[in-house]
Amino acid sequence: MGESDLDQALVERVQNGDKRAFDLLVRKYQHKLVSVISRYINDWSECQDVAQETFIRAYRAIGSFRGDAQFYTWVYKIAINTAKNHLVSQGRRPPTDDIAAEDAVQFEGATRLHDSATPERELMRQEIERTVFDTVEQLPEELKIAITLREVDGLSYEEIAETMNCPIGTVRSRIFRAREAIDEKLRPLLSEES
Amino acid sequence: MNEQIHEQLSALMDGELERDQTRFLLKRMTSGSELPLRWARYHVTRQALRRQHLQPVSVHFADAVMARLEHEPAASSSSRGSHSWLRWGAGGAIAASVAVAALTLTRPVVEEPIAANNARGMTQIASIRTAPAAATSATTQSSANVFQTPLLAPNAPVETAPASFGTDLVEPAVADPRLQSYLVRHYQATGTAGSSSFVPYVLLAAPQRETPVQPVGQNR
Repeated sequence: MGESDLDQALVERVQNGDKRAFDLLVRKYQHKLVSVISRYINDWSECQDVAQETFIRAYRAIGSFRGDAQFYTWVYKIAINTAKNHLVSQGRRPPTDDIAAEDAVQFEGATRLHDSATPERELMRQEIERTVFDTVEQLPEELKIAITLREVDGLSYEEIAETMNCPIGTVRSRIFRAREAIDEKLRPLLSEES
Repeated sequence: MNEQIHEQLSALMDGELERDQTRFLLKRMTSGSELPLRWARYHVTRQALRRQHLQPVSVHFADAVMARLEHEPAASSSSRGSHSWLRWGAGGAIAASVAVAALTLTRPVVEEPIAANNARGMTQIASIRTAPAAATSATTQSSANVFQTPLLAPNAPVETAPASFGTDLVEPAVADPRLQSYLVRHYQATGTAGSSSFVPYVLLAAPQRETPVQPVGQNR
């Protein structure tokens, strides 16, 4: 099961009435969607409201989600429409130049419609990134390679096992330990964040 | 135990967890537990490592969404089914309409020449053939659209005609002499092997090339 298969499995659970599965989808994509919406809406509080509204709309419409597109692409479109509707309802003109869902979250190559980050938020973002990269740098070599092959290169456990010449169970354990090490450093930052 | 669960969570986000373990893990992930928060942080890590633009949100964001959804009826895929049936039904109706329109438009163009050819061919064959009386009368009375059996009537003399509808029975197409030659050789070969051949029919069906008679003494 790949990442998109996991999303599809979670969507099917939601369609069968499992709200916990939707909670996981919200937590998985909340940062991405808020980031996308922040390109349209400057005010941080409004931005979070629109993100909430996006997830509510997605939940109400999820029965009609057929899986033709990836879940993120689908919810991304809802986010853009919700943001534009919000701007129109406020008497503001929405921007006409949209960006593709795949490009919207990338740092490089993406045209930023707005940059709503306040200095505090920008500082927070930079601190999170620095914490992640610094922690990865300090990891033992086999953990660093495993997490990099997984998250940066997008290899499956089987491919990583072949590359690192070790059992799949070892790969799974190494990736988990790397994540735990990063999470330990990240937790204080994200719990302070509000 | 906790570490094992966390490792499963890590595998789940990579889509590498078995289905039964996934089911078990999802049951444990109630909103109050620490697992959903960890799940969210793991994804922050992922986004940072993939250099995706990160906009950290409140830790209470998802809880607020789920609180708003608390009174929403559970999502169901029933509307999904009816929509897909509607889509299929509409698609089928459109396809049927196009097919009917195509049949209506092309029918006179296609059928009339064929019917005319059939009727003309039947009449011509009937007129040049000496067949049993019953069969002949049936042929001449035949409607244009109905293929009549008298041609296959027993005791009727065998007479052949080109198989294509578009060609006139009276004026057969000129055959390629190389094809004729090949067919003759094929017939001879299969004949010696003792197997049946389609060539006799073809030979009869093929037009005889008339060699022009040169006047005597022209070569001189």
